[in-house]
Amino acid sequence: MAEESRPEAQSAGPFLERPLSRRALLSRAAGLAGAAAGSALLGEGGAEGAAEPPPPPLRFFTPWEFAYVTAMAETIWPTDDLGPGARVAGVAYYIDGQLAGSWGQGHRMYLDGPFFQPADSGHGWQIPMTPAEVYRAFLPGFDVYCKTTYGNPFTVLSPAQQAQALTDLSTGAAPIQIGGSTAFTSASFFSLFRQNVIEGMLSDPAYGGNRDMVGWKWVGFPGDPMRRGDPYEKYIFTTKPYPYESKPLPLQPAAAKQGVTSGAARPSFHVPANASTNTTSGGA
Amino acid sequence: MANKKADVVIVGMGWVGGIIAAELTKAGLEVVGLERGSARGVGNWADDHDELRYAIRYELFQNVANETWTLRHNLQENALPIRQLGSFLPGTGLGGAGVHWNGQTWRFHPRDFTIRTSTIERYGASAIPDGMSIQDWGITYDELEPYYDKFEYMAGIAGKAGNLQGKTVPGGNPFEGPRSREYPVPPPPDTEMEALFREAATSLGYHPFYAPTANLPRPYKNPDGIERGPCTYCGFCERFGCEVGAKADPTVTVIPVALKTGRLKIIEHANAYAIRNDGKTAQSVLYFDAAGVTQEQPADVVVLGAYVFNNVRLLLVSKLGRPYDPVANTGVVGKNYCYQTGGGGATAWLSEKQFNRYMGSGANQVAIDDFNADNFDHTGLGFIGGGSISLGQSGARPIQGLSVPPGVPAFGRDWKVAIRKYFKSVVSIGFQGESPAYRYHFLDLDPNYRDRYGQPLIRITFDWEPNERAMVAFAGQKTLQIMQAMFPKAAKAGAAPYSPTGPDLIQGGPGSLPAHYDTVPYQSTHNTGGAIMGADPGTSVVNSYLQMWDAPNVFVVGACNFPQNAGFNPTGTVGALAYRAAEGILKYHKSGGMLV
Amino acid sequence: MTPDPKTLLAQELDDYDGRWVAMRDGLVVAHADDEETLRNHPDVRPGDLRFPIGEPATGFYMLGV
Repeated sequence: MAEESRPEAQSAGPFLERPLSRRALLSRAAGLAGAAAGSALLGEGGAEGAAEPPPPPLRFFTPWEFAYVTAMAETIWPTDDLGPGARVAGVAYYIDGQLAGSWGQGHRMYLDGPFFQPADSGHGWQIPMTPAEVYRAFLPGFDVYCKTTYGNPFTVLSPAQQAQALTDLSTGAAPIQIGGSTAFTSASFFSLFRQNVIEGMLSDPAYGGNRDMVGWKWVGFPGDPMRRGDPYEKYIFTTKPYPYESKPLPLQPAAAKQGVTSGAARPSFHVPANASTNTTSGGA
Repeated sequence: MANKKADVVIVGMGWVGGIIAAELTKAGLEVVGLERGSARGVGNWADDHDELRYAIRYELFQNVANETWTLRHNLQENALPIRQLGSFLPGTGLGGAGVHWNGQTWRFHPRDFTIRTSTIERYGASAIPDGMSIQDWGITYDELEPYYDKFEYMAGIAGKAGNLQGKTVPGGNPFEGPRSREYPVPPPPDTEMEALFREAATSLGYHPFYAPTANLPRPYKNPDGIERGPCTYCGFCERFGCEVGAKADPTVTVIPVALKTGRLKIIEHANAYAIRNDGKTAQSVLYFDAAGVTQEQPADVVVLGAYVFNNVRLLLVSKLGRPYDPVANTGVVGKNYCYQTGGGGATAWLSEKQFNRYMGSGANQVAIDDFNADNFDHTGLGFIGGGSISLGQSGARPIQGLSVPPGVPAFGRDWKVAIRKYFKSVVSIGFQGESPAYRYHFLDLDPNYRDRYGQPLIRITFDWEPNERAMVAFAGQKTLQIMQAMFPKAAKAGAAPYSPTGPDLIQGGPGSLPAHYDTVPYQSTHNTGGAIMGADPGTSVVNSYLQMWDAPNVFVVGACNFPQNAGFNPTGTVGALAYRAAEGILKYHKSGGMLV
Repeated sequence: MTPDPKTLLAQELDDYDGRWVAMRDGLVVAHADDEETLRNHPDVRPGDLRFPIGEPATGFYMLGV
């Protein structure tokens, strides 16, 4: 599942991977490794369109991290006989993009010190780390936990063991420390990760997940109603089924929109020509 | 060098700033509005049905990296910063939270305005627990009624009156205060799940009604001549801007009216940090401009409409008014901070029945008022106050809207099956309760943490108290009862091991609040108090025109004026207070002096 | 015993996550697994407030409206 599937790299964890060999670099340049890895990463289920776009480059995850996150996400939302799951939907690409972007980099977090471990519950995030840093610090610890407890890295455990390992995270039974501290528990990481997987399955495909809207199709969400002219008012007060529920549409690309005034950079306030400025109030 | 002097400077261009700017400019005054965020309008929302961007990544809300608040539960703790948005989501930018609210628009009850007097009258002084500092507002419902009316007609609130001029009329809320006239717009029909709620509540002897909404069900032209089209029930309401202008929003209603007069100047990216004053009179507002350079806006009158936290912060930093000291029990600025008590809801997961759950509007709900305020006898219950109970259909979006019954695993194949099974089959009844004031719940300046400009953050001291816990336990019994009447064949969720072929399931019963107020899960953006109104300058910051007792040319307006929070959303009352303040400012500008 | 007013409202309830408690004058006087057990608890008097304490949030991201 890793882009360069070398058994010794898998079991060694991220720190002991060897630098790329000259041969490996040459084969990348030929594009062979990328294409093979792409289809391996995306799996069999995604072939609905004729020309599949190539997978995007990773912007944050190392290949080792990407493989780990893909396997963990698949345990949360599996690809099976019922339908595509996290691997096919591109959840790991979604999370990769999020961690490289402003949320993952903590641009909307107050990360000034001093920092204290809370004396009681209800204070939320109190560590000087961003979500991206948390992922990077946590995954090697989880890898050690899996190898110690189940004998192998998560990526090669059996599905039953994988489910148990994630359960251990969710209950806090897995004592994984970040930077030697227990301030951020494994249960905290699990809830963060699970939410990211759900986002990766159900956000607009523009963010790299929910490929071909497989997540929306699974739950029965029609996507952006604006794409069909916002017709819900015709249905909401009736019991008529909405005919496009299983045909979701994503956010519309800007170039495809008609009627956009070119060069309109600032919003204009709607002030109708007949707006009155008197202060008397009248009936509707 | 200071800006040219204005008649009035307003800090904040949300509902308060927008309403006051419109009223003052219509009357001929020159107004400068200082807005810390960007200008924006319906053009910004043309393509905004993006759940991740707006609802999860909080694009329209205040960025706490720049400015946040610290929280401690009591005086013994060190306050810690709220490092990510969660529990509440304050707005920023033109229109403020008026751009992305749900649109639920209420009038508080007559009793809410005289809560202390009324409670003691009915139950005796011992009904108010030690440490609870609820107090009367210094204005009555009847005095505020014309301003409620004005806000509702400006915004086009849709609903059905339950009390017209003292006479109960069918179809509305029989517990409401008297209205001088009907709502400007009639309500829409019930959706299917709302109809079930209405039927069940009626069968139990309660009095359901369509809850007042600022999401227009039909086109409307307001007294200012602003025309807006109806809601499309797209399901992207709270946390989103409304691209069709159906949701009442300051950028669509009052701000254009003010701008059209030519007498409102809005300065964007103006971060107000202090009010220059001599202790009795404000001279100007000091702010950091878009380049971070200090600027000064002088004015005859200073109006604070910057939401509860920054209104109080500006007063404290400027040393305007008497800061509240809870230990000595002296002072007023920062006193009586309150929130909204949520919990005690009920949820049903239906095995077969489906609803068009992803359709909705923010304020689309049917409610009962039977267990709010003092609308029921509290004898022997051990708490005072109550809340509104409602079933709403605001539009379930997929990331936030997944819901499975207890017993379903948190992940894996069975969870995957359950989220699909129930996506259109979840029904919730919610409770929104009063938040009483307490002596030791208050706002002051944090001694340790600062914002990006180096200004001290506001420190919140707040927690849940036994009164609210008992209230929520009680509410949970009522919401469960209604849900059981809606789905009588349902079994209790969690009683038996979960089966995908099992019956309808209901989770409910006595509601709970966590051990401590938790800043993480979203609860409500109804923060109130800190600059409370009252009849007595010894226990309030402003009078009934929202004029500071200590500084007659300063008006502080918003939910900060509430001495405690009622069991309803605050915006209707905020709007009414803004119209009341506008009237006061005009009077003051003409004749000066204390208005009360 | 009358508690110090400064601590009156500061009873530590983290100890009772997920349990039912009875409170009198701002202090916990009894706790139990469920409502019925608490109601029958010998230390509980009529007039005591009885209510459940919720479980804490398990993480930093809460889904669900």
